[in-house]
Amino acid sequence: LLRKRIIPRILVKEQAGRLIAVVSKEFKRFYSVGNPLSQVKIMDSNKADEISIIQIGESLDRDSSKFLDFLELAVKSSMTPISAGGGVRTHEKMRLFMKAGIEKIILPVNTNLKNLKIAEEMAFRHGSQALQVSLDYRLINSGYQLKSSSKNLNIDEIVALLSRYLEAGAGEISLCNIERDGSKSGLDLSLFKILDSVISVPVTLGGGAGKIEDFVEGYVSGADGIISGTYLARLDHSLLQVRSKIAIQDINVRQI
Amino acid sequence: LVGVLNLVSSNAPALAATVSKIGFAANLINTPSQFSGISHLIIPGNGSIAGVTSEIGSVEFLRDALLDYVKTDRYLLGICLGMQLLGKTSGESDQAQCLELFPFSSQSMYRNSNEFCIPHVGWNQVYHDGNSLLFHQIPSGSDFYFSHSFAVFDSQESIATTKHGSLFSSAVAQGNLYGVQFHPERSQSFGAKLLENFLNLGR
Repeated sequence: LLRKRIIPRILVKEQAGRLIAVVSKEFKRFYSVGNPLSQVKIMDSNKADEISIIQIGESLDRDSSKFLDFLELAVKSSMTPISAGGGVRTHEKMRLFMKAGIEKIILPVNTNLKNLKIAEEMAFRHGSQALQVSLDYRLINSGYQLKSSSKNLNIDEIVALLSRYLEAGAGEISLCNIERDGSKSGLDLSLFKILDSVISVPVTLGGGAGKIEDFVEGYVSGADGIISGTYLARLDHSLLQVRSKIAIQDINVRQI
Repeated sequence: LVGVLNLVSSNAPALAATVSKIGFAANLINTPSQFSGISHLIIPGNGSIAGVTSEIGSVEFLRDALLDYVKTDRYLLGICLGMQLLGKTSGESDQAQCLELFPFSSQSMYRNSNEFCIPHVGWNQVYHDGNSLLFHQIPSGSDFYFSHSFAVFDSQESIATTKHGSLFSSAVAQGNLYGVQFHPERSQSFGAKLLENFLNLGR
């Protein structure tokens, strides 16, 4: 049977001309956790099921050459599947990301659908399995707001938006409640529980995993993978221990 | 000498780096002349079948060079899409001209499963009978990393199976030709072992 995935997330930011790995709180405040390549090597040797790497901050708008060099090194120095995103706003950038040798590209779901053409080309050239779209949202009184926009959306509008990306060929969806990001207060399962019945591709959840029970709850709800930045990066014990603690709760994770 | 077919849409340079890391120098193959001296060829698997077959078709004599290569009893490993390429046809595209080295055809996984998510992405168990050198010292049931929507379901040449909804062939072999549906280069220690086993064939 297909295993549930434990997916460490590495956020990469340019600071004073070099790249650093950070963890974030609500994607607003950032704390350095060290060298990004070291983080990749640690997660690789700790047998992560996949490593999710996101480029954040100002460097997005420039040519990303430092980040792309890092990505290529990350792929070459590990034997773990790597997905990556952040700032993929042009077809050319998409090609450069894939050229680095990653397994999957991550594109954000945008209300203005500006990156839909890139999603289509991505799925056409590389296949659906190589395209993950991320829905980063916050809950508001009347519904949802996406990270990239101040528009208020109801659940039907969220479903319609996601459908556009699925039709474009997205092979995986990741959901992240950005208010939970870095909070360790537990995953938000509310949107996932509504969407689960209408989505036929794998779904990964992120934002707020802060203890073993949060992972277990997410997997039991049906998530295929759980993405975690803060908890796995700053933890004193390793991903290997997290894995074995999840496994003894009868969750079908890979046994190392 | 190890060769990795350097298809544009593939992860050939990364795969070559992995091969070097496990102790074998790897050459990237772009043209027919570079097949000379290669004893073990790997066809990496990323992209779409239509893209890969048209790329092979567009480089002069590359397709012929591939077919000549296998006639000389040298070793070949196709990974993921690279395995599907070895078959007769692919359900992914009618136009795709596969290499027809195996009699199987790859088909969409949708047809075969309703309750299982497609694409099939993640780690799953590979079961084999222990008779193939490709799985030397790799226990049956070990986890490998998969990432695909098409698969081979009915191959006589199957040497390993995996279940996702229904059973499919996760590895095939015929003489010196091998194909694996999973990505050994992204499958950590067992993946490295499998690549090492392949590269040690005939040595």
